[in-house]
Amino acid sequence: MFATFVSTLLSSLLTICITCLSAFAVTLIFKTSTTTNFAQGSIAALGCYVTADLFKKLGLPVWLGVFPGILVGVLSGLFVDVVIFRRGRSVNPVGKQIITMGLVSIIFGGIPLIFGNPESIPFEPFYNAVAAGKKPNLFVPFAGGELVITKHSLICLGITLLVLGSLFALLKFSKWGLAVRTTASSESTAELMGINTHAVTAVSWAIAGGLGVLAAVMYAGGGAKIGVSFMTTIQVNAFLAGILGGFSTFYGPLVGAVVIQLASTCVGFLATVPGFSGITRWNMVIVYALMLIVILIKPQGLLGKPLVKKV
Amino acid sequence: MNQKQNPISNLLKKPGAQILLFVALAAGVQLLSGGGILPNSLVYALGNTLIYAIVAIGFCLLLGYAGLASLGTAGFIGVGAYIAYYMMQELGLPFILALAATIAVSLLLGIIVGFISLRIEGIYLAIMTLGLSETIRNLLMALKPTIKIDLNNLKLFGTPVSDTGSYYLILGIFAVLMLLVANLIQSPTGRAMLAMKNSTSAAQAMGISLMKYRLLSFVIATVFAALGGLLYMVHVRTMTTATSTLLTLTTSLNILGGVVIGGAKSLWGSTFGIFIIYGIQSMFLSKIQFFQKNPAFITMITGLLIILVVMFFPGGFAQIVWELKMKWQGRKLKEKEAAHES
Amino acid sequence: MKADSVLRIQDLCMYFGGVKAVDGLSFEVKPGEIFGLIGPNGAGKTTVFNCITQFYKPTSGQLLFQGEAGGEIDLCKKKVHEVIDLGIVRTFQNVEVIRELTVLENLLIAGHRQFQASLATQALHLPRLKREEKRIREKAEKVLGFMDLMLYRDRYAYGLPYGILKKIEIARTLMAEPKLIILDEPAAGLNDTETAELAGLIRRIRQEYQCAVLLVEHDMGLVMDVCDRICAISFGKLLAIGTPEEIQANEDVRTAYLGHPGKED
Repeated sequence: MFATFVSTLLSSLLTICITCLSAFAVTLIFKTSTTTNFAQGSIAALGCYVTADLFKKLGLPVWLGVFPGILVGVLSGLFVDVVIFRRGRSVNPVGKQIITMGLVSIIFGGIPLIFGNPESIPFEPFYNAVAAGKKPNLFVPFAGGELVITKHSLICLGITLLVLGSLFALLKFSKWGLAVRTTASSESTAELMGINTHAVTAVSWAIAGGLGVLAAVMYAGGGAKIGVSFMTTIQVNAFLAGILGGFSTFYGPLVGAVVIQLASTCVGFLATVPGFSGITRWNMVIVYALMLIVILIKPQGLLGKPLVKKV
Repeated sequence: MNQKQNPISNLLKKPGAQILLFVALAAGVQLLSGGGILPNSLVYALGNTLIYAIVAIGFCLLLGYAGLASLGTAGFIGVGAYIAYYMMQELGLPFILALAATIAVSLLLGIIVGFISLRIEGIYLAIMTLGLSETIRNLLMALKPTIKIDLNNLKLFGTPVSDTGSYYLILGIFAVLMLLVANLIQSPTGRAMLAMKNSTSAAQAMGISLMKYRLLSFVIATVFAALGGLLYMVHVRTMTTATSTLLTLTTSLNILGGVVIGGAKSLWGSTFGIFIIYGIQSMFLSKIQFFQKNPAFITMITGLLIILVVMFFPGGFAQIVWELKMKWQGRKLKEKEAAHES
Repeated sequence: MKADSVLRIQDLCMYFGGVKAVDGLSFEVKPGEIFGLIGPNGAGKTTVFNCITQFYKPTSGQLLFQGEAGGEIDLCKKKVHEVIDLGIVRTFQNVEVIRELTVLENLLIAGHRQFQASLATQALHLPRLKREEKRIREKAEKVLGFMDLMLYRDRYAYGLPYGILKKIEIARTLMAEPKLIILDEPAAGLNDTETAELAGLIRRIRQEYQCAVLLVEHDMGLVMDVCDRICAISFGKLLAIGTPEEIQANEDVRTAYLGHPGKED
């Protein structure tokens, strides 16, 4: 029983990684541009389509095809910041939000035009190596049972730890990180101190776009069907993770992401308990409802610091 | 100020007169199609657009006046649609009861969201309402994975309602709600909401209760959206859809897009924006073969319009019209002065 | 109980975490008095204002306001938006004028509580609302005339000069049948001529509206010129209360402002 429980928790490893990557991207943009990027998920989907298309048409393996995909994400991010935001007539945070929503419409419409079939592309077999006859799962004996872990999720965990680890190190120790943290606390002060805030926001958007695509490719590799809006749920969860953990720190949203996914898995696990089998349908409802309650009690998030309004 | 004004243009400044004119035009379209001059599908598409316009009016008040950005619209529309389905299809209850239930439930929902907005502000609110909308969608999905309705023998007060009847029902509800909101924004309530949008501190110091006006604006937006959902079911009459695809983020974005393109501070502007997003597509573009084959192209155009408008005309089409008007008046004034001098 | 004060502050404390922004402050404002609150930056002046107007709920202490019937009203029991009903109106340090409204409408906002028309009356634009609107509009026009702002009546506040915005804020306070007007740095950002005008204006307001004025100001010229009594604070604590002359002569006040006693001469 316990082993099954741990196995279930482990099964959410992949979604945890993906949500963490997305949540970090959302936070980075939130802190440098004071807006939420609603196109995060659709830019990610766009990059993933590129990777999938390269595989389908040219047979480019995913570990190689992911780079052009990420490049598309990076360029899309740069495009939003450099071309759209900077040309606008006094665009406020809500205006920026609405612009990213407009971008969602463009990408939603654009993907079927470019890639033709808006249906999902089979992505799983070539990555999980099922086709090659290799086993996709690892089995580890544990507490009188057996733990099941997919190799894919282990690889993704490694990549996620590596990527997020280096980003945090950059934030903490590099000059760029200092510039980001300064811009996050006050853009105008940062500018006065000689920081090129334009470069800081542009790089942040580029990183966010790239992270999104990376997450999307991981997600698709884990068996999710690619579609124009297949990253929407992940993105919504990433936003909510940001609010749950609190946007005031960089690590808060990551904690939020882990909590949300684990909570969802735990509710899912209840379904295996006799008498609770119907609960799976209510999974998201329960998780969202719990989260709403937590945020209403603590609006600044689990790890956020309360702000005193200055009059 | 002392220049003589044209009595007709003076009359047209009154919301009541504007609405009457609009109703006359919309009724005209129906009559022409009844006479066989205009295609029937045009009236159907116009009715559809009007439903979204109702949702947009409420959203306009919320975004343009109260300054609250919400992405929960799809969820609220879903509530109305689901109540309509459940009460009229499953239980076979009359329309009036479904209407009452829709208003009651959405009122309650609006109060809840309003309370949330008191705790969470600005950008966070958009995310929270998005989360709430997703919650509602998941809830509806859990309750009933597919909806199948057949309301062909719809009755109102015991008399059967034809397609024409439901068109006029929608038009009537639109006109009444438009009048109410147009009056509200020109009264202390509208000013209080604008004050709240510009400066919560000043608003509070001047005696404006944030709670009262946030709740009010969310209640109005939510009730209007749910009414939209209810009317949608009445208008469509027969359909089978999976609840997971019925109302998605795209719907919320479309409503927001329409309001922003048209002008978030202008009710007619918002209506016009909705017409661009839903109306042009369903009335005209869907007749052209290229767009029939590539419906995604329309979505792209919508997105592009949203971005361009926010970048260059934050006040939407209403602002463009206003700026043109100012220029025109300025030129006329100059001409007059020139005439005086010579 | 002393009935001869409009506002009585007793042992007011406002802590933010470990920071004691206001620490055991007491003073009184008498009817019809122009009372100045001075202190170096960060002394807690605006915090006192925010406590009076209930933007902050004080950590401890009492804020008592002279009510209509003579009894004292505990301000801490009021909500932020109810404070104006008592006749306590404020301005803000960083000018909070509603930019999307015209100057006249900005004044109507301050008259918001005087509208009694119900929501239904407003939604239907019934005659009752029109009557009220007319009455309050006339009142607003009177205030605009008094403040010499008639020229800007129908202009949108967006883009008006700073000096005018500051005047609009003061005009707004006059809409609410004020008993106590709270001005937060009214002279900040004004030039010398405008500041001189402001002094005259504050006196005329007191004369015309028979109310007390409480002001925070860094312009010592204005404070010494216009105030009947002054309260000097530093780090949230009282330094001295007295007439302008007494305050100018006070050794503690000089120390707080200049750091080194006697270095001035």
